[in-house]
Amino acid sequence: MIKLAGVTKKYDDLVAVDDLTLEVAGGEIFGFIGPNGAGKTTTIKMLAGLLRPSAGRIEIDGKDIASLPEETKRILGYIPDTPYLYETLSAREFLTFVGKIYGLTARDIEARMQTLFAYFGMDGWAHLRAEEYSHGMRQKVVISSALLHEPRVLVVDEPMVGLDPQSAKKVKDLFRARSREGTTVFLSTHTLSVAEELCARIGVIHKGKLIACGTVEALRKESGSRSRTLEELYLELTEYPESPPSR
Amino acid sequence: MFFLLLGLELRSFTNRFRNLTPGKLVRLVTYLFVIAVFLASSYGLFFRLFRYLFEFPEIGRLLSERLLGMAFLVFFTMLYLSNIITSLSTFYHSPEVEFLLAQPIKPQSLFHVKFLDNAAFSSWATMLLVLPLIVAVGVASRAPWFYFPLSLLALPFYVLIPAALGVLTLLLLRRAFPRMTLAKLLLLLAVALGLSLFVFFKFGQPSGISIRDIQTPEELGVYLRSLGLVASPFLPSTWMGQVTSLALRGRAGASLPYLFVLFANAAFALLLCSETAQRIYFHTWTQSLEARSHRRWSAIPRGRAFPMPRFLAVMEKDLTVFLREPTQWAQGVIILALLAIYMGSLHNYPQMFDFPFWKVMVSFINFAFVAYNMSVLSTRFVFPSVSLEGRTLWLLRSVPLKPSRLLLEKIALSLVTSLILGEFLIVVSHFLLKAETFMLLTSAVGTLVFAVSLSFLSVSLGALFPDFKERNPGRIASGPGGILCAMACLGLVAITVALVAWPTYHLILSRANQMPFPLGSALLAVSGAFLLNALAAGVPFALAVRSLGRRDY
Repeated sequence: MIKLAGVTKKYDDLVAVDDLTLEVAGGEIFGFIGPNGAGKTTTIKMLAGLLRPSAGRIEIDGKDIASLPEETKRILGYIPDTPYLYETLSAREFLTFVGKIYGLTARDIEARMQTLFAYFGMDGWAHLRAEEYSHGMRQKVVISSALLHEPRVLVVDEPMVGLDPQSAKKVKDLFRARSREGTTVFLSTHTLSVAEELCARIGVIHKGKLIACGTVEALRKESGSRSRTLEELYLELTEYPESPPSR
Repeated sequence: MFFLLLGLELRSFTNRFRNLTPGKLVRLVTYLFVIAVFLASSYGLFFRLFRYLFEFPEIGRLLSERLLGMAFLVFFTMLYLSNIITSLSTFYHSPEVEFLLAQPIKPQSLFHVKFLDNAAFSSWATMLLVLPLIVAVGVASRAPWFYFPLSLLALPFYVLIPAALGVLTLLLLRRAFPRMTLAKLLLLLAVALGLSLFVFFKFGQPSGISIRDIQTPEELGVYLRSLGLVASPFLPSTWMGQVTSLALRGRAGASLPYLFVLFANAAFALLLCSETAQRIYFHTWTQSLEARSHRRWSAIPRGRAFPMPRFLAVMEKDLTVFLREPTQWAQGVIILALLAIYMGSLHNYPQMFDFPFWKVMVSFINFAFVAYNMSVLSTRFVFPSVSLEGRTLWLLRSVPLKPSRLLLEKIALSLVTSLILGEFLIVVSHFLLKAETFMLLTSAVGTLVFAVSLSFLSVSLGALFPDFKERNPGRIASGPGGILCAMACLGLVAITVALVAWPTYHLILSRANQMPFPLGSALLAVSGAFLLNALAAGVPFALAVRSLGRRDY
């Protein structure tokens, strides 16, 4: 469903993503982890069509995102790491706007909005302006906007930031449910426990390169490591220093 | 601490010009080139105008001085308003201020540095008009050598007074109404200014002689001298006008007291602003922070104000956001108030000038003035529309929305509003001027063409030269891209008006002298005007669609 072939992104002399090649099957939840500045968000943005690769090819459901951007975006839902909204619009107005962009009818928009509002407990404040919302509330609105048109691919960057434990559980349950229905989820996160809990496979990116990819068990065997947890494995793969610098 | 913060501001500014990529270098050179062209064109225009006026002994000088006084008054008002509006974000809504006030920094030091930043930002665009004006008047009148240094010396004081008064006004409003929302604060300001302007123009009429009674040049001189309100001794614009006028007349000694008055009042205004800030700035800043945290939740009714079909989703969203954004529409109210005053004053134009040439010329000047206003409104409200999407570009570029559709919907919204406003102004003004039907039709068609071309041009330039990090539309419009847009729009209007003026002038001549009308040349001129506007609309649009589609976000 998602195919990245030799994808590279350069900013002048800086190589943010270096020759990334991987495939994600339909209905899979794929985790993408790495240190700060490794290239995770850059990869996510290229998948969402916000950045153009310097080299390589990205296909969503067999369509090249560079040459058919509108067609690929039609089946794609994007959840960014920073949930910026139109401050003077309410959640309801924002979602109506998004629904119209995706060509949904007023009836469909209303029905799906009600379902999402009920699920995320947004009924009490969906009519208020976004400038009143907390970070967690904004995150819920953004997640809802990505799900409104029932996408076949979800590209997600740090979905749990700002969510209370109950809401975080709801989001995880939602991703699992959508995955069972055939939706592909490409998920970037710093929270390794979320990646371990949700994802069928995990890709580790470090300094722009994909240094490991597979199930946790497969990664452990491949590295020949005696690490027990994903965190230990991840820290070993990403060259975590033995001890902090002294004063 | 003041110099540390000032150094930080200067470093932030100069860093923009370091390690420029080729693309950014090209953009910088383009900005500088356009600014140079604008300065040269403004100088040329002012030089021709004032040289023409100075050819008329005594009346010409008097008219020039009055024009200069009016110009300084208009600039002063613009600077005052501009400083109030930009200082809202500079002093109360800047994340940088929030960060710095959490450090062990005296709020007063921060205030002083931010004041300079705000004054510079609010004033530089106006200086692009003031400087060529001062130089052109001096050269056209063959002014003595001391005119130039005296005028340029007076300029910083003339600019600092409205800067200080603007910030002081905001501080006092914030102190008086700590919990007032931004929307109500700006509305209050707009109403107060509108009322002031109304009183200004209604009761500031010249005494002694009515404009309708003017028969001779001497009576015209009496009328001009009696324009008391424009030359009020209490206005900084008058002091600036006196410095320049007296220097023009070769009376350096007589202009020095006015220079001193400007200096003294600038120093007083700055001191008053600084002392007031020392007492209330930090307090009002924390109150504004509290007001934002504990604001009463503003419910929005279920039904939308302007429900639109799916294919106009972007337009619906833009209209809703604009009407709920007080920093936008409050300025619109002020501009509309000024236009209403202009319309109201149209019935005062000299009815005695009844011969066809004058009537057509006045109609044409009116058309040019409406076109000028359309270009100003385009720059001010339409140009920032793409930049203001900065924080929500993650949405607009990840949904199946073609860049062309995004831009076209913004253009459509601008076109409809500017067309309605422009045509209303044209029809009403022509009715008040009792103008010919031919001029009404010409102006109406011209306004339609401008509504289309200026909308396309402003939105397209907004996409080509965006400032996605800035959230204040006033600052976006005053930035380099906004200035570029202003010059492009003004240039388009000026050239189009000139192209249409030529056949109009020959039409009047042919009627008056019963000469054949040069139809071929006239059609060529009008076709040229249409072609120019089509190119001004189409070329930037095509480039903008390409740029928006290729840009990284």
